[in-house]
Amino acid sequence: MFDERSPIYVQIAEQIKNDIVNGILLEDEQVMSTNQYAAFYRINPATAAKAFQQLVDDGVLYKRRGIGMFVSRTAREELRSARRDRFFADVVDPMIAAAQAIGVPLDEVVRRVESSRRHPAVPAAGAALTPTSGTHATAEKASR
Amino acid sequence: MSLGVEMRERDDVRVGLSVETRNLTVRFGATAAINDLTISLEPGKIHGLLGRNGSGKSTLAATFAAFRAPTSGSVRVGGHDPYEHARTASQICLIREGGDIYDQQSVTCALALSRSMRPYWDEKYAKYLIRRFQLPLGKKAQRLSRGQRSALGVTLGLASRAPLTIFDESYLGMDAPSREIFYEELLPDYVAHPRTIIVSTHLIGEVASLFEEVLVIDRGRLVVQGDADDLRTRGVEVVGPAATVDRFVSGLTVLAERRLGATTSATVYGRLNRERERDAAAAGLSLGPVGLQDLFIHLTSPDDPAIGDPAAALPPDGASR
Amino acid sequence: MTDALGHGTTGTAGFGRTARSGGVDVTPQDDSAQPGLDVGVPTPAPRDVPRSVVFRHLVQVQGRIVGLYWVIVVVAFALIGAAYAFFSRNVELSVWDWATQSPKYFLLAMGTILTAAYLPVFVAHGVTRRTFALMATVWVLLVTVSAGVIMALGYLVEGFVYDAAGWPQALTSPHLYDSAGESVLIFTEFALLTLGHMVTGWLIGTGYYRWGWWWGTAFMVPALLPAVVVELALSTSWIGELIETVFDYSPPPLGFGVMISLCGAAAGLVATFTLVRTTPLRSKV
Repeated sequence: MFDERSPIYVQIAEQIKNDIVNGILLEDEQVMSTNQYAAFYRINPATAAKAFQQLVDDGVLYKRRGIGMFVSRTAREELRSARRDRFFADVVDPMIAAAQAIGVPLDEVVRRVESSRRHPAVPAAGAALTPTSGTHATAEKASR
Repeated sequence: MSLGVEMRERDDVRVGLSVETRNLTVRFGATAAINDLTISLEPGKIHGLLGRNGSGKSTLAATFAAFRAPTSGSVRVGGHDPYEHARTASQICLIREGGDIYDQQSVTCALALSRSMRPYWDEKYAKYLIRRFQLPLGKKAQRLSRGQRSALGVTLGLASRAPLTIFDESYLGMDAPSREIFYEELLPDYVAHPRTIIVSTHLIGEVASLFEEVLVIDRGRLVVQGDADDLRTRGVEVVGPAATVDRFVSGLTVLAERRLGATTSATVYGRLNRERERDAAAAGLSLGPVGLQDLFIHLTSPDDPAIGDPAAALPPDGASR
Repeated sequence: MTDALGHGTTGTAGFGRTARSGGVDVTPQDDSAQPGLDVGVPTPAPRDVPRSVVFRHLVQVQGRIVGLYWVIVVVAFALIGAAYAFFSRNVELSVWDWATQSPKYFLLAMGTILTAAYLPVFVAHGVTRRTFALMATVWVLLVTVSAGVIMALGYLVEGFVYDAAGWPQALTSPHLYDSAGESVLIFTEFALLTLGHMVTGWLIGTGYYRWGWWWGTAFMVPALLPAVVVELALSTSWIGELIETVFDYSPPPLGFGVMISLCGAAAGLVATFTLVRTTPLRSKV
């Protein structure tokens, strides 16, 4: 479930952030408690708590005492804009470097990008992905 | 970093007993099973105590539970020396493989014994676990299979709800499905009834995610102690052409190296920042995770004494670079 | 795990969701509302394992064995007595007098297993060695006193039967007492003898548990002292006869004999107590 490249709490935080960006978790929606989380993924609750605390510190989640943790209203926009900022450094530049290393002319790359703009292969940005019912149902059952 | 608020909402203080040792030494004749060990375990956490066979972890657990007294140095559980201290001793439950129970008595009698002596015993929970592990109530302990005996030990340990509960390799005799049951029961019960739990093992892979903190013991000394999640990722494997790898890892703590032809794989202790990761990629090196199990193997002594003690090369607090 | 666009490549969709039933749901989902979590049930205050529990346990487990032993002895000697009466013309001797050797050796054996059988179990269940040693001492006293009582009673019951049948009840081995009716002396002899032997047994057993075969056997020599002291002080049965004739030894007056026996047993108990308190549990390997 979690690999060894980074601490578990980082991976948990990333998962939740992904779900927020992809519209699976909506603003002001409640997330699973740390204990439910820990029980479901069979990890120590302190690790889950660490992830949640990080997200609270980052403003992605907020806490309502006695009730639980919720997604901040501004979370989705802020996450997306942060990812947008990193997009060129993390995705585009390495792609260009890889293309050059293999010997793919950049013109071809540009042409490919152009053609995809005209015929989108992926859904337009902003559309929420439909939650996969399988995982969702499993997560719900486990949280009982 | 402050921990998740949900867990602490009801109590600011962690429930359970703390454990401390100071200059603890335990000798058997001339050999020191534990050698000048000074550690501190915070209450209310699940601690993993990792060590090879003969590393001293069982002896360490025994001193925590007052099964034996130190040769020198001290142990403090909940602030008291547990040896011959009734109030503390009754709050500690050490389960060694199979449990310390009468061989000639049945499972039912073993439960009754714990029920009469353990102040926090939960009979309903014990019966539930017996059913889950499918243990025959009427059978004598010595007639149980190794796996059943281990399951009984684990049941007695969990249901004792002792503020300091120690499982010393207690689940190693169990088959994989039974071990799964143990992991499944341990976490929720720990959450519902917080206490200090120490799991001593050398079978790390399955159980690493349950730990909040990990201590690695080798030859009676502490190799490293730290946050489990942090330790999991405190190793990097650098693979590539020998000369490039050597240049890249110079100045880093290298735990092990393997060569195959012109390719070298070096296991480095510590984490690489983004800049160094990009340097590695640029140099044509590939980086891979190491994981707690492999890190443990590299940090603890090999069978060949001619090879130096790799842990000696560690920075004193195992700080990552 | 995720690409830079943040699309999860593992099935994470929806994991964070909580139950919904149309509209915004604010069912309390924090952990205090979880079933199985008994919030508000106070944890019991720390307490020692009660001594009575330890003692009761010792009585239950050991009591069965000791009780069985006495039943066997009584039944066996009743049968022997019946056979004796049946096969011989004149019944002159006390049959119960033949039963006098086994209690001390049986209880010596029972003493040897005390530490090995019970110390690990009790300590593992949170009982201090001190408590174990104290309760075991009380048990030893209880068993040996009852041995004295049972032996005295045995003579009395036999005497009852013999009187009714008109048989004399002659004793065959030397004792503190000369006739079967001297219950106090009978009690004294057997209580002290069994005490000395059981204490010796306990010492021997503790030595073996603590030090293993080699030093345990070496320790057996000093550990025999309590039993030897009592035997010498009281000088009864075949041992007494043997020592008296071989070494030209005459035992002290009874009063002194009792005192010396008690001191010997007490010394043995103190030694055992000291040993037990510093005995580690053996490893499981």
